[in-house]
Amino acid sequence: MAEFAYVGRSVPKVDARAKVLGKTKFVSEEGIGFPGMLYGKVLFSPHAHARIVKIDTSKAAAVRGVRAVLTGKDVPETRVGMLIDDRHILCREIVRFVGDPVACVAAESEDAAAEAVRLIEVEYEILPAIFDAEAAMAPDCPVVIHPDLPAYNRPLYAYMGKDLPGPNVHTHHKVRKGDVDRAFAEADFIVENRYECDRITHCQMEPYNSVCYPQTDGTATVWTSARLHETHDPLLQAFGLNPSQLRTRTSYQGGMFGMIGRPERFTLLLAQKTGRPVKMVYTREENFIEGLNRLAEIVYVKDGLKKDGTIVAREIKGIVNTGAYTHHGPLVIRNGAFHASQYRLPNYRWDAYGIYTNTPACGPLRGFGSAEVIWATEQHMDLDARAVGMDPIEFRLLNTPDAGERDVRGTLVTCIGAKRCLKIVSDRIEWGEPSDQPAESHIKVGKGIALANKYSMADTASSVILDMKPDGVLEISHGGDDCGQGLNTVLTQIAAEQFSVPMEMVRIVWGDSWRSPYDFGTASSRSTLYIGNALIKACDDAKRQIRELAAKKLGMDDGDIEVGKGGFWLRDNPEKVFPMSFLSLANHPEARGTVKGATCLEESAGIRGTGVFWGHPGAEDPETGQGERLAISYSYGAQAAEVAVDTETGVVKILRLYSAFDTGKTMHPTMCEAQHEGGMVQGIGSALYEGFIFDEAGVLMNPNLHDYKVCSTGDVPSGDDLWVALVEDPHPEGPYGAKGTGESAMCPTASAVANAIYNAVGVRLTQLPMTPERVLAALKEQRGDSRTDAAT
Amino acid sequence: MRRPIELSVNGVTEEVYVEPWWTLARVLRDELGLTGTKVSCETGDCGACTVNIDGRAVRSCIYPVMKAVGKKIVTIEGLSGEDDSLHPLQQAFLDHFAVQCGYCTPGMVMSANALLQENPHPTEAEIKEGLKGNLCRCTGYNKIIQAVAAAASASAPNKEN
Repeated sequence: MAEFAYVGRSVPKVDARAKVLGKTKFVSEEGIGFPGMLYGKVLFSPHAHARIVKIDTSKAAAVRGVRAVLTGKDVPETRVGMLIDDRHILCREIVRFVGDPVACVAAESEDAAAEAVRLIEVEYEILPAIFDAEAAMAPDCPVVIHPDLPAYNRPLYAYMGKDLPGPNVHTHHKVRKGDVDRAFAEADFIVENRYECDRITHCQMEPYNSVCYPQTDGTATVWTSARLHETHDPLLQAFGLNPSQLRTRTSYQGGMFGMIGRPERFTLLLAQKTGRPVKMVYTREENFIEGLNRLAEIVYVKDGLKKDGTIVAREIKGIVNTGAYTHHGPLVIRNGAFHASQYRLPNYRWDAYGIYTNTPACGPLRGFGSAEVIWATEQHMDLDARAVGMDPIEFRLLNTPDAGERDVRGTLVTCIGAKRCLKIVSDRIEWGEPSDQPAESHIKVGKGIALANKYSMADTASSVILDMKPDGVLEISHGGDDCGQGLNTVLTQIAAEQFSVPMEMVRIVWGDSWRSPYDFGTASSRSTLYIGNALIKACDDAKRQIRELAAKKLGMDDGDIEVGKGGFWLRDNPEKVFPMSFLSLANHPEARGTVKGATCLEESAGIRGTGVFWGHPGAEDPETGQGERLAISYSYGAQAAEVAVDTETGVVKILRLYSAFDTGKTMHPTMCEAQHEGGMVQGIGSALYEGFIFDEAGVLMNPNLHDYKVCSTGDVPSGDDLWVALVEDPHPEGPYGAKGTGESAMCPTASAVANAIYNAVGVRLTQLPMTPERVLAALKEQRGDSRTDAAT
Repeated sequence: MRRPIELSVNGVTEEVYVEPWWTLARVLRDELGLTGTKVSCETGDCGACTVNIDGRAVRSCIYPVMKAVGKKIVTIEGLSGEDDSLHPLQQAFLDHFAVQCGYCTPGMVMSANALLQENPHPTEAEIKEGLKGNLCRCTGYNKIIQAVAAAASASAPNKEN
């Protein structure tokens, strides 16, 4: 592969210097000290399911400094949503979970706003509530959370709402391939099991926050600490605005992991009503309750196997608790089926159901459907391997497809580094060698592995504008998000490479819905592939324009001109680089100094290249889930874990965690490695510590960083024990062969840890997180049983 | 009722008018404009708001501002030199790609600074122990631990702070 000056090298991260100085302006700094700023606060429902009988805001409105107290009657009547329009900005009649927004307040100070919220009097008629997804799914469930569901608008994926088996079921996604029943009948072994994962949340360090500035011309500018377009578009829908009536802006975000903007609908609403700028910063508790967290999922897996170890059929039933509102839920549910691309599955049946319950609404979180399902399937692969008497690695290798095959959904497998990744991590962890056991007999050590993939959806697009300034500076405008993963650095590398200029000659403008070109946004591990490709096209476009103009001016052919180094040169004289200003009107011979300083060209205001990259998605058959091109790329990889289980306390410690993933082309080795390390540690958190705990009334009991445990330095392996390998199997459509990789590292971790726990102590934990209580309970059950899998 | 107090912040005596129940973080950010100090959990669990007070790492989001009177406060803005020349710890965070979103970074650097003043040559285990109260959701900590180790071996910490 060609050597590059910037691409593929660990160049300085463009945003890091300002960040270490504490000078980066995050959105949470926006509006501090701004004259006339009001502060917003929301009143959340204390009940899981209730009818609002009466709201008395008079005491709240009387608090000194309060400028607005708004309730459901002040918000648009139309319901809004991402995939199913099932929600009002503030509840109008019914509250559906503890935390459903009932009213909001704007006041001259945060203290006054909090006091006013406390004084809003709401009379509720309590309704019976339901929290368990399997119970809520029943056709005769006595609690119906959205009685009007059949009439709700479904802007996208309407087919997932047909023939629903119960009144609380909002989604049914299907994939069908081959004849599953016949394959099961002919199989030598059938392996079945049930897996479950509790709800988790992003815990991005910057709390959800927003500022809205109403403008004198009737428009408004809303700042979001979340993604630009995923915030902008729902606000337009919710408020019935045109894109030119609302300007949405963002900055570097203080973490993302899939989180979706929350307070923006309230800052905009309050700013519209008061005509004043409004700032809101959610408390950490509000982050937990109002954040669109990772959904809770029950996954039933049934595999049919031949004695030789081939999987002949797989059936999956997913029951997904998306909480009281759907948001991205139906899409998360659908995308769970992408896991199946990992293996050669000649017969496959997938039924995933989305269920309403009276719990907080869910949304996207790193892994978007994949991590939840892979948690089940990668443990199940170990059960399968046991059933056929094969080594888990051998068994996985046997069933892993090669490039050129069609996956379960019908998408062509173009590059797949899975086998290489599996070999790398298994070699490093010395697979096959038993773990050293410590002297304390109550500590047992074991190893486990898991494979994973993470898709990037094909049905998205990105666009980039590249301006070449008179001084040769390249200004990239994009509509993606840099939440720390390094998008702006990667785009700078690409532009510097394309034009042979130092990275300092590149500058990035982003995060402004009025200025940034369209983008689906940073999601689905897509930014490098999509925005990178759009940028390369924009570079080509700009170079073409420069060649044409220079050739015309110099009386040569386009082909004689080369572009780069901050200007252009004649192919046969690369030593003499013409500056861009050579083309400026100021340097036109007829100008004779009269348009001094003019930086425009004679023919145009400047050099502006544009580029669009679209995934050209294939249509998905609603009955079979088959589609020619549903994902544009998959990041494939493997992880190996070694864990120590304390059989007296149930505490699991990760001793070593190794990861290998196929990036296609690693654009920036150290940043990529760092992002993977972060994903692995988030994976450890989801495996061992993180999970929402509700009481019997549906109240979240641990909405803070004390009782909801995020990994700290004390909980994770470090140095060579947290180790990443990046494998390059170039993607035919990727920029320089690169494909997305941001989410993948989190996907196999929980299963690798679970498989290692089994290897250490012979118990299989099937519910996330694998807390000491759950480990101890499993060990206790084991003492009653023998040391075998319950499922085989 | 707001009352005037004097705070020593980054070597400068600042007069501010505060409500006595305000936290130090609120005063640093909203009154003094020192927004390098971040607020994330408001319960002292995440460490994003860490500053140094008399050389020790303190969570400013739960530290009453009145308690800071008469003490030497150093924030991330006070660590760098003139013209934004980087403190060795800041340089090490930069060199080791210990920064992703950067929201935890100021607090992390200030915790590390206090750690190195107390223990200029910590082991990896001591670094992990010293940074246990600072949460980072992006990096997985590996690069941060490496950065602190590198800063410790490269130069003595700034005793002035």
